[in-house]
Amino acid sequence: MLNKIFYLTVLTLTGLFFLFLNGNIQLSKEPLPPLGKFLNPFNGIWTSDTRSEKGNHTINLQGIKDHVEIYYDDRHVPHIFASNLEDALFAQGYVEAQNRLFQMEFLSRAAAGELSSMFGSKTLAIDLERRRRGMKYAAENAVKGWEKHSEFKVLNSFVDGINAYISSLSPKDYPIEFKLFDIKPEPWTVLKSALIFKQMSLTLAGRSDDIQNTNLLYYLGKADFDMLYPERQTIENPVVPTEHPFAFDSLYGKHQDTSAIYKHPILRTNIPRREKGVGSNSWGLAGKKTHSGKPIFCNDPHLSLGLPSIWIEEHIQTPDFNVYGVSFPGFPGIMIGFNEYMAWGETNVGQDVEDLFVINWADQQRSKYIMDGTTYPVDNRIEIIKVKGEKDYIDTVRYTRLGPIYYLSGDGTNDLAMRWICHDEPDIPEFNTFIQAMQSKNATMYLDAVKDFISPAQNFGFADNSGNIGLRVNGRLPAKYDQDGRFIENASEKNNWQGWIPINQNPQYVNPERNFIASANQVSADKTYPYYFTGRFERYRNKTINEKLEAIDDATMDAMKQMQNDNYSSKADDFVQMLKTLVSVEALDSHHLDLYKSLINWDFQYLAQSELPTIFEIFYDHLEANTWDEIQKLKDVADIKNPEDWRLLELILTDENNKYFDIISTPKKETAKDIVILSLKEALDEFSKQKNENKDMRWGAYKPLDIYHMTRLPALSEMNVHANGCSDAINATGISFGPSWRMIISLEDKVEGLGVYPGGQSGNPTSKYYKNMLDAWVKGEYYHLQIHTKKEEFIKSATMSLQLTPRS
Amino acid sequence: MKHLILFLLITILVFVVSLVFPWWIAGVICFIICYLLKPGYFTAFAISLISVFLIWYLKAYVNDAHFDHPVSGLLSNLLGGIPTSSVFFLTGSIGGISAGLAGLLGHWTRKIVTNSKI
Repeated sequence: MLNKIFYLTVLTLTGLFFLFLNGNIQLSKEPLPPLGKFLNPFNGIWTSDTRSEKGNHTINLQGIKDHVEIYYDDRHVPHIFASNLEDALFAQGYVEAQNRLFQMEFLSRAAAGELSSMFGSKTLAIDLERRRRGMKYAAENAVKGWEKHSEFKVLNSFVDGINAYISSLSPKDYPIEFKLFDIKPEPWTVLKSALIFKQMSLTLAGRSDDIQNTNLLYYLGKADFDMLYPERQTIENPVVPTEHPFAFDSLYGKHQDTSAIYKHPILRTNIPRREKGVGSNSWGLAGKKTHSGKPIFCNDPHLSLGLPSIWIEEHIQTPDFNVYGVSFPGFPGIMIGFNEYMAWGETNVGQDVEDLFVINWADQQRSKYIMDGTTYPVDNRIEIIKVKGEKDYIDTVRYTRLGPIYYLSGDGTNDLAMRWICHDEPDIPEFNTFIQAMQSKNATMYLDAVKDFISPAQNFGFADNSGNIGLRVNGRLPAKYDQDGRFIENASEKNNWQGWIPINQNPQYVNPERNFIASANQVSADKTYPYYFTGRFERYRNKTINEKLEAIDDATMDAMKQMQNDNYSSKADDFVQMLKTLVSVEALDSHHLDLYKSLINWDFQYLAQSELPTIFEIFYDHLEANTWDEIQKLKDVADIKNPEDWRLLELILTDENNKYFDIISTPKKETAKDIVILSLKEALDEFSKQKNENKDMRWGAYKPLDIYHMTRLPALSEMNVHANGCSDAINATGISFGPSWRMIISLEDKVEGLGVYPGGQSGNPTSKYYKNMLDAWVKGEYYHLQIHTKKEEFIKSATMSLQLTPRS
Repeated sequence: MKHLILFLLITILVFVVSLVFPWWIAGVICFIICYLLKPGYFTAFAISLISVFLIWYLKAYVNDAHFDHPVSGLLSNLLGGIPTSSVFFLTGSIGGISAGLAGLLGHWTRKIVTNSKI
């Protein structure tokens, strides 16, 4: 008897041990990889090698019409040769899956709010936010709309290519991360591509300051709010310059009704506020300004820098087109690139396309609401979130006529519905935008090709080798009445979007007299534009770019390299000029003088090796903290934001006795000058103290760039990169974001291109192509983009080749 | 001699079958062999452990040496910076201990089934 009990105990314990090693039992909240499965040398991590990056492979596949040849070059860029568009897109899907399968899986799960199925409860809050935002609902609507268009079949070719790769994998071939998190690659679907597209929309068009503005209006009062947070900048360099007047009126007339603006604070919501610094630069020069006499086009989107990079470089050739550029893994077409005739690229448009409305509930269960005098029921969408190692989390998201209830307050008095452009079922084939764009042969074809784009609205810039340059604020822009969408409003159709601005009335221009186009996230048009424009707009980079382009003559690709890597901050320049006028040397302690003198003699270059940017940034932080103490103290009770930096400088220079300069905790009544001197002294003290503690105060070391793997595992990331730049410089490198693809195209008869991104083509962390381009990117170097190389040359020098042949 | 035969039998079978089946097949094989061949409990445990430890350790080592860019370095980083050599040892140990326990259970199951004293 005792024998049997002993035996059964050991049997049970061994069984549990096996289940633990197989990942069926989790001992901690932090899910461990299933050690048995993971370390198994026959199909665990020890088989995730890089053999797939070498050799010549012939693969028989269903789903292609004709033979496709793919040659990888020494940077692991695939050069795809296909005989028709469908096969080319099939091959694009295939190579993206081959190189970035986990990234694609991760991004689609992140968008859908399904990360907790991989990472456990620590990502539950992120998933919940995605569900309440209606990301999957938006992607499902997108697919519903896309399916109605005949062009939809090209999307299927792309998806088939991804699935052809996935189905060729046995468990031992799964990328490392799949083994680490014990998941299997699921079959790819159009919905997953739509989710990736929505994830990009979320990054670029998923933000609003409605809550902050409403709280601040309530706490500060209208006069102070208007004074501190003016809607438009005093000096603007709009994307479409002032000399291009708008010869039309708003289709919806003018109207202002501020009575619906919500008169109560929304308080603290814990809703994530998107990082400052996401943006982009793009410019094009007409032949009159270039050495070759032909246009040059440049683009560098500043997005979150991660490993693998958000971009993948590809070259695709068919008898009808020959295109080179970058694509988002999981979405077809070339987003930023060039062909033998033209180049194109995008920068983000800051127009606010996400508005929040307070819902007036008709019952305590929040199942009905009253809007414009009518009672409507909500549609409930049950969201089941799978949580690894725990039971499912179930949430009900209520949908109203305006959109999902994004924020639920405790008592239901402040529940907010979100009107977001991405929720709408598209009535035009937006998925086809980049597939069409890459086949365009001139400006007219391009403008027609991209007209169906909806969101995230971008400044689509282009140049062709017939000599044209141009730009369109491209995408759907909601037509709103004045002040609508700037604050939270009571839910009503009157204050909702009135319709869309017709695409031919979006700000746009071709071949401007000034001989250049430029966009860097500044406001799209000046105040004469007949539609209400509101949002977040950039102040400094665009000014530097425009000044440089005005001055430039005889431009070459080398000059463009220098310009994209320019680290001058006009913000630092403006603030230090102010220091020179307000601060007399006598006001400073003698031990600060040397530092102060170097600061005022600085050339405002944010160089990794220089300590001066660090001094300035510490000073600026103190200046903000000392000035906006009244506003910061609201932070404990409500979501708020500081006034913009340019407004702070304006107030210092023009309103020295403004009450906000008074520090509330001191008996003295401070003026702007007092605050500036105090902040400067504090900053110089702090800098000296940290330096005396042997801290490396050079800019690159002080604010190093961390390039994280999506999972944020340090072992897969590149941490502590010392790079030049800051978000106000053209080289807009921040702590976790920056120029994610630098591209320069000279539109000569034979188009030439240069490009680089901070990462590598392979998503496999053990591959030599995982981050091989990072050093060149940090140094500001570029690679020649081989669009003209003959196929025979690629065959000769290929590091790997794939022959995809149709299975008969 | 008997030990050597047991060792070779386990080693060859585990190696061949592991090429196709999931990781736990090593344990299943040790269990079955120790059930059928009736080694002593210590032998069942030790030979299962040693065979599978060696297979896992050496297979991991050989795979890694053939890679252009070894995963051992990545794995040691993932495991908090432990020395690269101990990554192979850990791999061998996970396989070895699970197989040793399975072999021991094979021995005991035989005893239970035949009503002998453990």
